[in-house]
Amino acid sequence: MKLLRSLRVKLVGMVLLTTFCALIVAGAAILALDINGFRSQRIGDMSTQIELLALASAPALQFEDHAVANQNLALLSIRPTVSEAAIYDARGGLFASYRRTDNDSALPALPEREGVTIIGDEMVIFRRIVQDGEILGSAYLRADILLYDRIIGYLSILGVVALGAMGVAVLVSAWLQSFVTRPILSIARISRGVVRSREYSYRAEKLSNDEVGLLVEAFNDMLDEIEARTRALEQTNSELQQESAERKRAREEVLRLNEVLERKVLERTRQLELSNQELESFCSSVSHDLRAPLRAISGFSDALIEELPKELPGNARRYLERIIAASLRMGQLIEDLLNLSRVSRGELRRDRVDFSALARDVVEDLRERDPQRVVEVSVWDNMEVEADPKLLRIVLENLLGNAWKFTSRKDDARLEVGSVRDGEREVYFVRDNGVGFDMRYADKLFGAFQRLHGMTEYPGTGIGLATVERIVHRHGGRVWADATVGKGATFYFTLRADLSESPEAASEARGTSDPQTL
Amino acid sequence: MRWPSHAHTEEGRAPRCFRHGRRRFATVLALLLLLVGPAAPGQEATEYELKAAFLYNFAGYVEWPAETFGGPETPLVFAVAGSEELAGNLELMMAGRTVNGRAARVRRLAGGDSLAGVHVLFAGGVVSAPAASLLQAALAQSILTVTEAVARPRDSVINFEIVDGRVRFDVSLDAARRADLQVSSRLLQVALRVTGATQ
Repeated sequence: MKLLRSLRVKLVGMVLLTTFCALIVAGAAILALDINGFRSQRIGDMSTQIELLALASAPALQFEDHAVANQNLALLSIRPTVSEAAIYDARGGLFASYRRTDNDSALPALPEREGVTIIGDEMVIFRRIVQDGEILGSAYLRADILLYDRIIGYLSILGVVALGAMGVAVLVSAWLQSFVTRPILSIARISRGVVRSREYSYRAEKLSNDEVGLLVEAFNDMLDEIEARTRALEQTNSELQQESAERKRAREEVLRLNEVLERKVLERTRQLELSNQELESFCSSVSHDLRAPLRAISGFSDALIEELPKELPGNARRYLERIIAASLRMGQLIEDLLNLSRVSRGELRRDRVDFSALARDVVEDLRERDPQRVVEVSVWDNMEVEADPKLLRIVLENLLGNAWKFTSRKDDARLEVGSVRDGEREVYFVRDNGVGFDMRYADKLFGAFQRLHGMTEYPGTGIGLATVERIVHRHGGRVWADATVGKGATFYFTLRADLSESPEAASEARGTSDPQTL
Repeated sequence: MRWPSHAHTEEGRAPRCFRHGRRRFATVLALLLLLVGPAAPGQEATEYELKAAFLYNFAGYVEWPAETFGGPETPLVFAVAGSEELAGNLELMMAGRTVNGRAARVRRLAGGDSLAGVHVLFAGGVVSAPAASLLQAALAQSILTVTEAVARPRDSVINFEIVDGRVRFDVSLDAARRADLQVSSRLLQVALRVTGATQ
């Protein structure tokens, strides 16, 4: 309200100042005029006075009547402003004189030149007394002008008038200013209300058709605009809030679903691991349990052949031999199954292995087992690899064993073990010039018990390549083959995880057993 | 002593008598200066010098009936009887001066002389019987009569007296009325005594 009061005060102050200035100017002008008029009036007054004095004193001078002259002068006592007066005779001698009671100054010794002289606040007048063209003497008069008294009196009147005028101006302007300030104050009050309450529905009242009225209109238009915008903004805000709430809800839903899924995955994984373990322990226990009766079968079959006479009726001996062979094959089968389950378990070691030496060692074993065969084997030198040595040996035994086996009908059998660099990774290969296989069946190559060749042609259990794949996967690598029927086959494998590999391979690389390969 | 030139006087405030013409006034002033100049200051004027001056001055305060002057050029005539001293002084002082714009003349009056054309009559000494009848006759002819020792105040318009060694005068308004003369109240103001009712 401080500002509002100040506007009122300013208006009233403005009026007061204007009034004051106008009064000062008018007062000064009137004062100047009055002073001027007053002075000439006083001078005129005294000039008349001295003229009358001169006229009245002429006979006294002519007839040398000092008494009459003095009486004439004494009449000046009714004019209190006259401080002294005198009549001089034609010779300049003092003829008669008058002094106001409070005056004790000396009269001029001689009359001076005719005219009015103003000395300070006094005037001195000399006047020749002339009768019939004859100078009879001089009249002298000294009078107070009382200009300062006049000015002071005038100023005090002016002051009173100014006070009165300003009082009236205050009253009138206090009444009139409301016409100007009321709309402005109303705007100010409403704008304060709007700012305080943020309620834009207030409107100022238009009271006049002047600039203030325009201001009120503009203010109201502005409020309209603000109100509309605020409403739009609030709507947008609430929409945004709603949207964001929906999004939040959706995100929470997604999170919740994710959690559920993860929980399900974990559950399934646990179930799978459990069933895997059960399966594997079943497998190993079955293998172990199968061995004992098998050993009994083959052992007693051997004993039968030794103890029975050489000549047996019919095909008895041949049957016995077939029982023994079958039981041996079954033992091999059980051994392979145990191997397969073994490679899936236990810690995976990562040692530095001399791949070349390992391959040569395995080839040596094969030559010892089958000394009559002539096979050309070339193993590249200086190949090193980081892998589990036992598992890597199983891989090479299987791959080289297969190569050895499938080249048995070739006269110029050749085996090659080497490595090629493919970008970041090292790819190892085992190549032969054996029978090869049809690439159409390449995807079945690594399944357990899958065989592409007849049992009679090439003996085998069908578990070897499955074991190889399992080991390679545990190392995080991949194994694949390339072959042409009758011309040989090449098995490639890597021993390190590769980002370009398939996700299944990557998960293998983490060391978890893959249930689907069983 | 130097008088300032009257050219300094403002027109508006100029006395009535100045309005007739400044040039003439200036010449009069010059003459006056010549006259007044030689008079030694402090030297007391004699009785008849004063009386001559008074007599001359009286004329300025008296108005005669218009028919007593033949025309504007008719001079004002002073007739002096019984006082050669006064007549001499008067002649001396009137040289070149005018009264109310008229030239002034002095006529020494002997017994039996006609009063025709006279405006002011001075009867010096004690007024004798024949002189009294002369005064009566003068009053009848509208002549301002001035005496210095008269039996009855009403016999002459103005009568000189000596009071404390100073020359004073009485005015008889009765006589003035009889002579059909208008005496200025300003003159009455300085008179020692004024007899007869004022109008």
